[in-house]
Amino acid sequence: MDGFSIALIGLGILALLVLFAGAKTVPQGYNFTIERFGKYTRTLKPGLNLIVPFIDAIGKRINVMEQVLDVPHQEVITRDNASITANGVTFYQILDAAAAAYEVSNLENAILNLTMTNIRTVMGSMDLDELLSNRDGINQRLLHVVDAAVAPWGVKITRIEIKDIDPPKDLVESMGRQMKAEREKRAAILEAEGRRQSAILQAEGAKQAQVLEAEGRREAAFRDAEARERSAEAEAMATQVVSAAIAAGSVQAINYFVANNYIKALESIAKSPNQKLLMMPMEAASVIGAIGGIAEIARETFGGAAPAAPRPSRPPPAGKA
Amino acid sequence: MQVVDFIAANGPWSWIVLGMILLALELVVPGGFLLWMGISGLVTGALTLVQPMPWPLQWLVFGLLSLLSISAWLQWNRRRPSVSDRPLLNRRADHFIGHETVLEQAIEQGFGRVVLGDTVWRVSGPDLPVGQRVRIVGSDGAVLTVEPML
Repeated sequence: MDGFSIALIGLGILALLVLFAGAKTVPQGYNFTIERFGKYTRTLKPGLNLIVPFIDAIGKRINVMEQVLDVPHQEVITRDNASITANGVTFYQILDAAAAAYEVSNLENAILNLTMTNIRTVMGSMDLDELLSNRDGINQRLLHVVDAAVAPWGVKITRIEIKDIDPPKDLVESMGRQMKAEREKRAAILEAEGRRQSAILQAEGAKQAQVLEAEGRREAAFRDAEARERSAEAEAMATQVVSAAIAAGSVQAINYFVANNYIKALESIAKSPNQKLLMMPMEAASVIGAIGGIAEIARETFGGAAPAAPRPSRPPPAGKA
Repeated sequence: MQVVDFIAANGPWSWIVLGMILLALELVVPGGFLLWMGISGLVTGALTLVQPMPWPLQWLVFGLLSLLSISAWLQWNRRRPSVSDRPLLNRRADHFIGHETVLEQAIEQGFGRVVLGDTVWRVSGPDLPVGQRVRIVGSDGAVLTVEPML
């Protein structure tokens, strides 16, 4: 075993190492920068790449996939002096590996700080209510500002999202109370509205009822009056007829009616139950007189001198059948 | 010095062992070169078994085989680069080349903005008003190059 053989074996191993150093396999999702004597020359893309051993060296291994950066909780004071804590998330992607590797030192930290300061700037220029209801607008403004700021580093900010906005406990409590009061106010207003409506409706109903009743009474009065009128008319007609009859005939015609009524009255008096007292007209004779009047009429009707009315024979004495 | 003794004792088989070692190394540290050198080692061993020859010639055969196979492989690679079915993977800006869109913010001093795929992109090009239809023709880092559509 001489030195020459050892040197040969060493040379073989060295050749192997050199070859191995000259072939660089870059995985998908990464870009490697190449430095020749420390100076950047080019960027290796994914796949197999050959470099000059000894002279070229891998500088930085840059991840060109989209990455997520958590923006931690931080205190922000809004325009209306509410102190809140907010956190968020930033998505970014390196589009220019060389710029990201050499234009900025500690890229992630730089992006994080930019995002945090801009969150403060944007939120500090808004009122709390606006802040809570306008996250879209905040995200948009942040994206514009931060994206423009990181452009020189070959980085694209794809989105910035505010995750949580936490006002202090007492503020949340009072916000809750405010909402509750708002709802209670609405409920009370609605109830009052309901009561008012129902009162109006009831009054309307009562009014309607009274009007209808009055109309009914009026109608009834009209009808009553009409009835009285009609009956008066009828009476007048009757009277007229009677008068005419009297005028045409004799006064004895009246006697007929009077006698009729007289007898009917007597009949009803007699018929009345448990009558201990029989009232006789004071002038019983006048009834007879009326009958006499009837005889007179008959005489006039049948003309001529009517024979004297036969006297009614006395009834035979009792016991003689 | 057992290695040297082993090589002296088992001339051809030592080449085969070397080839296997090289192939194993290729698996550990992929690069492509060691693969061809390993194959060359195996072929040299096989040749020596069939036709014994002095060791400098053996080395010459191994070296030539290695150089030829590696250079041929590199040539073949250059002529037929491995084609990806997703050539635009991780090249977000190049996705948009050829797209047409509308300026969301006027280009002033060479920079404006467009909305593309759910986010806002900075664009560079000649000064143009808001609402102008533009075509994306290239990209420079995170800035897209546009030209107005007539």
